[in-house]
Amino acid sequence: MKKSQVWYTDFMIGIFIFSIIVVIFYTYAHSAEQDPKVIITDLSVDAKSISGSLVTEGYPSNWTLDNVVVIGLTDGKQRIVPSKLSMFADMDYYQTKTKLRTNYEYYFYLEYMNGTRIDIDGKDSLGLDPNSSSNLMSLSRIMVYDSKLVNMVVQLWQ
Amino acid sequence: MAMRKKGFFFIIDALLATAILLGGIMILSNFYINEQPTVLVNYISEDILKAFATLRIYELNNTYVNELITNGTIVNLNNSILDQIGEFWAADNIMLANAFTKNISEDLLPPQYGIGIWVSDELIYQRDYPPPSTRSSARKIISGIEKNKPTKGFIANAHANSYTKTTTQVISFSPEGSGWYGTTSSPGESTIVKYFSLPSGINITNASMYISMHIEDGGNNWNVLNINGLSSPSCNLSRNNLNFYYGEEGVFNKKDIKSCLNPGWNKITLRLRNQGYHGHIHPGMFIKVDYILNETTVNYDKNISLRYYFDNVTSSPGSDSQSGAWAILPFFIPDEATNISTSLSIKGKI
Repeated sequence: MKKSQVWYTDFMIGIFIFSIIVVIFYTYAHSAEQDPKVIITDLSVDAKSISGSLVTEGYPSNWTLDNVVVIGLTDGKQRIVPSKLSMFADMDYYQTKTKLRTNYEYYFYLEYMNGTRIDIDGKDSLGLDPNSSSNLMSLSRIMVYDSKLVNMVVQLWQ
Repeated sequence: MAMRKKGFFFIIDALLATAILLGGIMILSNFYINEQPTVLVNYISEDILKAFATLRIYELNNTYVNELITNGTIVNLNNSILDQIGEFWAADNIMLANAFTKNISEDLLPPQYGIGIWVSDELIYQRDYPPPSTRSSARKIISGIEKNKPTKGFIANAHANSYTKTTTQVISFSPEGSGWYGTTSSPGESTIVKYFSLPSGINITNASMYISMHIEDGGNNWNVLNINGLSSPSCNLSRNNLNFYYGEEGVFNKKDIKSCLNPGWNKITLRLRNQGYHGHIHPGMFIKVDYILNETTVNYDKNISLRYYFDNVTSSPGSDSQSGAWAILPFFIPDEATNISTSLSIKGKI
């Protein structure tokens, strides 16, 4: 009887250690999925896709809030159309994330080449400010706005 | 009792090992997560080219561009920046293309960006300060331009309605002259008056006179050349301003006469003096005028009529009374021409 009790205690301890190892394994496996190199690559792909979409006319080319499929801010020739920019600013953040087809958070702003932010319907930026986000991809595109060259900055972050 | 103690040791070992493993994993994770934000630059050149192809001249608020518009160098305000650079290049005006690109890029691009623009491998402008750490390049086709060819065409129904072209017109001087012999006080002199016409509505970009003649290199100075009766030094040339071949009376000079010429009729007056021989124009004397012309096409007639004028050559004898004006007028009839008819009209004084 005593022998079997000892065996039972050892068994319980073994199970306990095994459980800890399983937990550690899955924690590590999840961490591997979150490898910053993988994330940065993923962010880069999404950032290119989003900025690439925004420099187009969008779809349909004269899209409205009711029929927008792809958000594009220009006339197709690198020139920002103010009405499209305004509609983009009016859209719900999560709706824009869906239209831009990304699971990451984004932060968008326009600035003149000297770094001065451009007002977009009373806001100096759209989306969520990354603050001190660890994984962030920032992508600039040069466009024409109000007869000037401007930087369109898209920051994608997690 | 002894067995229970062994069990305790085993548990403590296992817990210690687990704690060490967890700690290690957490430290490694922290190392991985501290990544710096990354900025991609590989769209910059492509974007700038597209933006330059989009921005129109009338949109630019640039002092230099405004000057070019005011003085008529830039005619089409609807041109994009790239169109304008291409037009300057096509007109072989690289200096102007350089100055234009420099002004535009310095105005539009912050100093941390370098930029280089080439048209058909010909460098138009390059700004490479600070030294580049990252390069990005892009190409774009500009259609409708070719060096030294018409720069713009509006094509509809397979025929051109109007166009702007860059043209070089050459006005040749025939071998001609006279004014035989003479002395310092009474030299022989031949006066040649040449009229030629430039199209109306042109913008003259360059005009040079290539002077090749034989005149007296000694004696009193006199005014050899006058253009359109103007008194400015650039439209006159005295004998002492000519560069003679050493020890000879032959002379070859090139003179900038852009400011002296006008669209329409122009008049060149030459006074060729000589004391020991006779003054005359050598083959190879001509005026070369570059201009930009806005034209509307006409229906070309297959019957072509051209008129060639002799210059008005007069001759004043020198002290020995020898004289005799002369002129040779070469002209060209295309090989394909048929049904050629010619007539000679002579108007002279004896």
